[in-house]
Amino acid sequence: MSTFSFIEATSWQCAECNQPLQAAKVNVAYLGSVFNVELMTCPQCGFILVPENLAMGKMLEVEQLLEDK
Amino acid sequence: MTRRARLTSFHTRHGNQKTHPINPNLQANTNEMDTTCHCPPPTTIPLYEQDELAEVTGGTLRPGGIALTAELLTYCNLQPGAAVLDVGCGPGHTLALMALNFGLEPTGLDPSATMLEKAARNAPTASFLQGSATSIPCESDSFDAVVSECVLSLTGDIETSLREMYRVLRPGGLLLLTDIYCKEGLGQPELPGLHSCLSHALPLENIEKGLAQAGFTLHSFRDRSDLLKQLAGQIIFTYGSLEKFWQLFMGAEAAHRTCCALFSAPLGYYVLIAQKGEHHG
Repeated sequence: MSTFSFIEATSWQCAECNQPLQAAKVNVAYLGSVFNVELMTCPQCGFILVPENLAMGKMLEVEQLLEDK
Repeated sequence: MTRRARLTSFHTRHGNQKTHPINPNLQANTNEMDTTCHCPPPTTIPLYEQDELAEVTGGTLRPGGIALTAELLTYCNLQPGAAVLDVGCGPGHTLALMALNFGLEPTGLDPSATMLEKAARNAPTASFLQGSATSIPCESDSFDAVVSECVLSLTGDIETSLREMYRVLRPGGLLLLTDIYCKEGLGQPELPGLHSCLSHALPLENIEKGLAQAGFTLHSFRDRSDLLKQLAGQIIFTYGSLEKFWQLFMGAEAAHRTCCALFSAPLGYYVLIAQKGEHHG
């Protein structure tokens, strides 16, 4: 099993629903591919928090992989 | 205990399953397989037996997963009840799909007893044979179709494997093939300590030549390298990085070298359908 996770305790809440975020498996569509990732989401409206280390780190790594060189 | 004895006990435990008759002419070859070892050295890791890979591929151990298999089977429009051999059936997800969703009569062939036991749990109505693609323990003209997914390059001798697949197909039968290939001129990545299709990938021209030499007519070919990239991306999201994924199976330095080797020798993934001529034996 993978020990890696983007899930972490966060003080962020969904402003629209005023709900604390919960971990959920979501599909991330990126550069024509779809990836299954566990992220913090609003249990009511499904709004997803994309943490900085995902946006600036893993997304970049995947982007480099998906781009034809 | 010999490989054949293990096979016998395997069938005993799953006594309600039928198998295609073994060609007596192949008996000597099958026995030879036990003594002429084509296996990797004991320290080499068979990637396809690792649960970590199954975790990111939904159990199917290959790019595209079961969705690609369903797409191929739909395209081929095999009749319900058609006999289909899955060469390198692994944990049997394709066998289950063929039996449950397409009404086919699947037989799984794999050299790994571990994989065959998993396959029997996943596809209890299928038939099973333990053996190699280079010496398929079945009579000639036995199957309406042969499926082999991400396996051909692992067999060690693609010409012989393709000839064997051709032999067991009935005239007009279809070969559904998917596998990794290495982009021409760039060579195979050197991945010591890893037994997988990644380290045995061949250029496309070798595959095409092997198909033609065996007697197949190529029906359709699609480059699906996008699915290989999709899988690599999913590994990054699941394990943090490709290097961390490889570290599950080897030391940090070897994992780093593996990543570098794969980066410098890009690989692709293909899907093809070929046919055995109607008038060939």
